[in-house]
Amino acid sequence: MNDIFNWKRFIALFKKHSAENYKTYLMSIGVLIGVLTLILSFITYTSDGHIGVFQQGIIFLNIMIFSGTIFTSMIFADLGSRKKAIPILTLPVSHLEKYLVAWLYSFVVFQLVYVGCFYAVDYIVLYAGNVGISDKNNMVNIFSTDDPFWIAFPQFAVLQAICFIGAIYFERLHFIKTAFLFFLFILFLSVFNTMLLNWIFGFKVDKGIPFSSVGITEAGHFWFIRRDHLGDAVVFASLVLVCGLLWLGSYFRLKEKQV
Amino acid sequence: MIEIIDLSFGYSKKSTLLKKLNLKLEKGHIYGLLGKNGAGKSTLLKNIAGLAFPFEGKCMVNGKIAARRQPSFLQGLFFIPEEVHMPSLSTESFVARTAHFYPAFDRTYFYKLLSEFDVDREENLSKLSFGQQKKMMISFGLATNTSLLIMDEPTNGLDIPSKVQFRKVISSALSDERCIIISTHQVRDLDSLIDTLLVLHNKEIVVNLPLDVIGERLLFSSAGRANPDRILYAEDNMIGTNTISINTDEQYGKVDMELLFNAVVNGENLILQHLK
Repeated sequence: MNDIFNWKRFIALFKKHSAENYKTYLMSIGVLIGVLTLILSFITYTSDGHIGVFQQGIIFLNIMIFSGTIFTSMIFADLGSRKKAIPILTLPVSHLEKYLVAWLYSFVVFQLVYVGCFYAVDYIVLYAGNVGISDKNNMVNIFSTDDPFWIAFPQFAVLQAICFIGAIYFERLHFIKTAFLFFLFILFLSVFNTMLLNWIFGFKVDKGIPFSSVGITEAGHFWFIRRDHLGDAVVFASLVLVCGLLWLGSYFRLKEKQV
Repeated sequence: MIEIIDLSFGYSKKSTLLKKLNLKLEKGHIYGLLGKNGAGKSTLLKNIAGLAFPFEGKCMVNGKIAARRQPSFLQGLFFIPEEVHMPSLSTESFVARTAHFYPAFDRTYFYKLLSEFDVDREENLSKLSFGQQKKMMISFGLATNTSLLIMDEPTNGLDIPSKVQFRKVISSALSDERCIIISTHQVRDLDSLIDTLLVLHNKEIVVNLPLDVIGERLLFSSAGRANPDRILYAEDNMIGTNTISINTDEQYGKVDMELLFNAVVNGENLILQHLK
C-alpha cells in the first residue's frame, strides 16, 4: 500500500469532504453573490447606470482577497475542535491527501468559483445598467496584462499561503490571529525597511516601500527610485519561494497535528 | 499487536502524564483500562491511535509507529472518542462516503447492529441525540472489523438498556484477530465484558493482568468470609466491610474491579506486590 499518495483514496476523500461540507459551501457562495451584487449594483445605481472598468477591477481584487482569506482561514477549522479532529485525523488517508483536498478547495476551487460568481454578477449588473444609457459600460478583463487587475491572482496566492498556515497553526479565531500577526509583520517590515534605507543612503530618506521603491531629496531635488525589471523578477521569484515555503510548512504542521 | 516502550508524554515537558510507560497488548482480548480522572487514560489511548505524540519512547501498533498515522496503520484501527461528532449526512450517505476507507467493512453487520441498538437510520446523523450518535459510532466502529478498536468512555450517554446491549454486542464482536480496548471510569459497565484489566496510576500501568489470574491470586469477599491474617485491603460500606485477601485456595473467584481499583489508587502496595 502506498502510504504517501493514492489517487483512489484522494478522490474518495475529496468526495467525502464535498458531501460533508457542500451545504456550508453553497451558503458561502450565496453570501459572496449577495455581497458582489450589493456593491456592484450600488455603484452602478448611484452613478446613473455607469460603472467603470477600473471600479469593477478594484471590486474584483478587494472582494477576492477578503473572501478568499476568510475562506482559507476556515478550511482547517474542524481540527481546532477535539471531537471533530479525531475522525479526520484517524481516517485512513495520508497527510498529503488530507492536505491536498484542503489546498484544492481553498486555492483552486475558490478562485474558479469566485471568478465565475464575479462575472455572472457583473454581467447582470452591467446588463441592467446599460438599459437606458447611450455610452454602454465595458466589462473588465481581469486576465488582461494591459490592466493591472491580474495582480489579484499572485496577491491572492501569497495571502492564501499565509492564511493556510494560520488555519492549521491556530486552533480558533484563525482569521483574526493570522491577520493580526500579518499586520504586525508589515509594521515591523516597514520600520526595519526605513532604518535599512537610512543606513544604506547615509541620510534620512523621504519614503520607502519595502521591495518596491524609495524616495529621496538631494540638493533640493526629489528623486523617486523604483526597482527595475531584474528587481521585479527577484521579487516575483521571492514571492513564489515564500508561497512554496508556507505551503510546505502547512503540510508539516498538519503532519504534526495532535489532539 | 501493541507495544509501548518507555513512553513519556505530557502536554508540557514540566508536567508529564505518562512516564517511561511500558505495555504490551495482544489480539484476542478485551482490555478494560481504568484510572482516576486526569490519570491519563484518554491520553494513553490517543498515543496508541497516533493522535498524540510521545516526547520520549515509542508506541508501535502492528509493527508500525502510531505517530506517523500512515493509511496502512489507520486502516487497522478505529477510535471511538468520548464525545463523538457526526456530519450532517444520512446514515446511508455517511456509510457510502466513509466505509470504503476500511477494506473489511461489513454493511450487513452494521445495519444489524443499528437495529439491535434501536438507532433510527433514516434520521440525519447530526440531529440524533448524543446517545444515539454514540451507538451509531459504536456500530460503525465494530462493522469496520479493524484489528484494533479503541473506545474511550463508550458507555457515557447510553441508557441502561443500551448498556446491556453494548456489553452483549462487544462480547460477540471479539475474535482472535481483534483487540478491543475500553477505557472507563464506570467500572460496573465493564463487568462480565473485559478479560484483562489495565490500571493506569501514577503515570504508569500498575496492573496488566487477566481477570482470571487476579481472581486466582486475590479473594474478594465480605470481612466474615476472608482469612483475617491475609487481608490486604478493607473498605467499609453501608452493609459491612468488603475485603481483598490472598486467595489461598487458588480457585477462581469473581473480581470486584471497583474494590481492586480503589485499593490500587489508595496506594495499597501489598496488593500490587502480590499481583506481580
